[in-house]
Amino acid sequence: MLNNEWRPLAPQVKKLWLISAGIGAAFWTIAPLLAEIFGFRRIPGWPTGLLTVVMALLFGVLPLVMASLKHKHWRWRLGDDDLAVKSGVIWRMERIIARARIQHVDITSGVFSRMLGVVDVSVYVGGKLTAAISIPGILPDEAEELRRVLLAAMEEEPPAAPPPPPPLPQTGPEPPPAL
Amino acid sequence: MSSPDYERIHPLTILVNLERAIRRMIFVVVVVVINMIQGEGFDQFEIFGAALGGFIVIDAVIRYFTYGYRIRGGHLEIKQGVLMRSNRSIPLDRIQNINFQRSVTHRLTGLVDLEIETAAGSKAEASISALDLESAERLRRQLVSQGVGGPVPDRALDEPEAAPIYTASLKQLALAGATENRWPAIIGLLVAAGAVGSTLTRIIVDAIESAAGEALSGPRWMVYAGGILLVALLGWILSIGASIVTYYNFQVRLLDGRFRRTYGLLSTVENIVPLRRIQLLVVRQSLVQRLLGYCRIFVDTAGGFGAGSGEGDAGASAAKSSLISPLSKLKDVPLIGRIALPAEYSLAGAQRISPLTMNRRIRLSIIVGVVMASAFLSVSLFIASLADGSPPDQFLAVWRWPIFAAMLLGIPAIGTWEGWLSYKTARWQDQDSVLAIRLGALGRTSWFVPVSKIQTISLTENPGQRRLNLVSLDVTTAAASGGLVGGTVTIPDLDRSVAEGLYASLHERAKQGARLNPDGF
Repeated sequence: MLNNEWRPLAPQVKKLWLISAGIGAAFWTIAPLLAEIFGFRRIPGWPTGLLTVVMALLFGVLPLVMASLKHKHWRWRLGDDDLAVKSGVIWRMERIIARARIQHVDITSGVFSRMLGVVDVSVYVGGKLTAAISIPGILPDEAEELRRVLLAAMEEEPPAAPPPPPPLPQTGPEPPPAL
Repeated sequence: MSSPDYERIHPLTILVNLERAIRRMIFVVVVVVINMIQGEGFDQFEIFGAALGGFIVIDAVIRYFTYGYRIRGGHLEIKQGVLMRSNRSIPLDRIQNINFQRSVTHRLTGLVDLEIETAAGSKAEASISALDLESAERLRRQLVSQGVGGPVPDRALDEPEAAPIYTASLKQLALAGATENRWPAIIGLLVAAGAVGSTLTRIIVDAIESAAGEALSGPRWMVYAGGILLVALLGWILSIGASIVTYYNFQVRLLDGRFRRTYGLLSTVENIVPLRRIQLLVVRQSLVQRLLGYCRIFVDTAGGFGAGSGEGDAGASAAKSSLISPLSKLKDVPLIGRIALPAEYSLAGAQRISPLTMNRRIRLSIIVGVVMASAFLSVSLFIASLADGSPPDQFLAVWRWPIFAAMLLGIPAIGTWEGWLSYKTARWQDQDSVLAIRLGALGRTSWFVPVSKIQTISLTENPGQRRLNLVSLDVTTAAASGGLVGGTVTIPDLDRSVAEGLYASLHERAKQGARLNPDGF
């Protein structure tokens, strides 16, 4: 069900991101508007309304557009033995991890995500406190399935013997020039 | 199953705790001492000192009676606390490295702090402070023979005669101190100390004035310049001294699939690290070291044996670095580096990054130059519009356009120069089992990543890269992030096709490597 194709995030995530961007947009429009009405009006020659328009465009409309584009560009893929994501509109990122590296998998959800019926899946590898890959918003069934597959892959892994230690340094032939 | 009793820490731990408390409150102690010398507020400080001492004694006594450790069923169990009790159990096969830390107090009392690190974060998982040397050795032997890197015969630890693969001579340590960029930090410390103790400041000023002598009749700036030079020189000498004291008798030995690192004149440190836990080898050169052909070498493990320390912070902060060589000739790197890497490696025949990187950097520095110069101009014109004849106003009247021009031309010029140096330095090479990367403008850093240890591989691109079809490739290992070296290594500005090819091929090999490492790192 899940294999080997680039999959988008659940459509609900777009809604979620648009709502949170919308709250920001409202704040960044109303706050400068109030400031202009009650404060800046007293400054002689102040171009009333300019600040509000600029702030609303910059911090209001732009995040709304970005939220929608971000959702459009987000993809994840469960391979036969790996997990990959790609995301980003302006700064783009593509990342892949081997499933055998996975230490544990978290499924989390905030209040709003729960209301919209999506969850976040975070995948952790060794030595790091933050998630190596975090998929922000897929359907709960899909998330359960994903976690089951990822953790099953871990358990199937045969307990391989540790590799032999590297050879001791010899004082034989001159080593190759370093750098 | 027989369950052995918990063993106790050494009663003299109280002295170690005292030293640690003084170390932590060094500024308070300095203030107290200065005030005592000046005879001010003696009483309060005496009371304060007594209260502090009492607290430390009580704390140590409680600790002695409540702290215990034992090995049972393949786990190291540690219990501690009265009100907040904790029982911790560490699986022996999860132990990454074991460190011995000793400060001067430890050595006078024959004690040692034993630190145990697992892969969880960059702090020591457990710090047993303090044990006498004999029980510490016994515990370590038990831990090593049952844990760290699989079972091994006891004799591995009984062979200190094994010839060291690296030893730092006094001359090398002095040179390391002289060529490291550590002295700015020391100057900062001196200045801070001067600001704290007014007495000290007066002494320094007096010294400068008497040293300057006749120069005092000359222009004032010469006195200040002389003073700064003097402080810089002092900082430099202190840096040399610090390097010798910290890294005295630095030795790295190989023992049966592990390496043992020992160093220190006053505080001593001893680490044992299983070779197969090594995630990354890093070679660094400051500008001066590069010109002289020297370098420093670091290795990182998932436990980050250098990255940080728990409560047993007996060593100085420098002691927590993951150095395995404070100073080596660059040509000796392969010899030492072989402990960390599965194969020989070199950067001979390595590839450059895309030349388009210059294009991107020049554009970027022009944009930064224009933005900063315009910002400066707007501010300066705003000040001029106030026309109040204040000193900044007068200064800007003369210097506005020269500064504007210098920013407009200078920032792109410096950016281009730095970009050119970086491009000339940047090399990468994929040698099947090792990915080697070298970056830097004035100083240089090289990373050698065992491909079998790679955890994640990422391609990233910013808008400036996209228009030139460039991509950066990041790899991370389980090397503890937040350490001096950190776990992420980046090859910047590769051509897209090259980067995508490397991404796919590294992933294939990292996947194979993952199967060889049963713990996942």
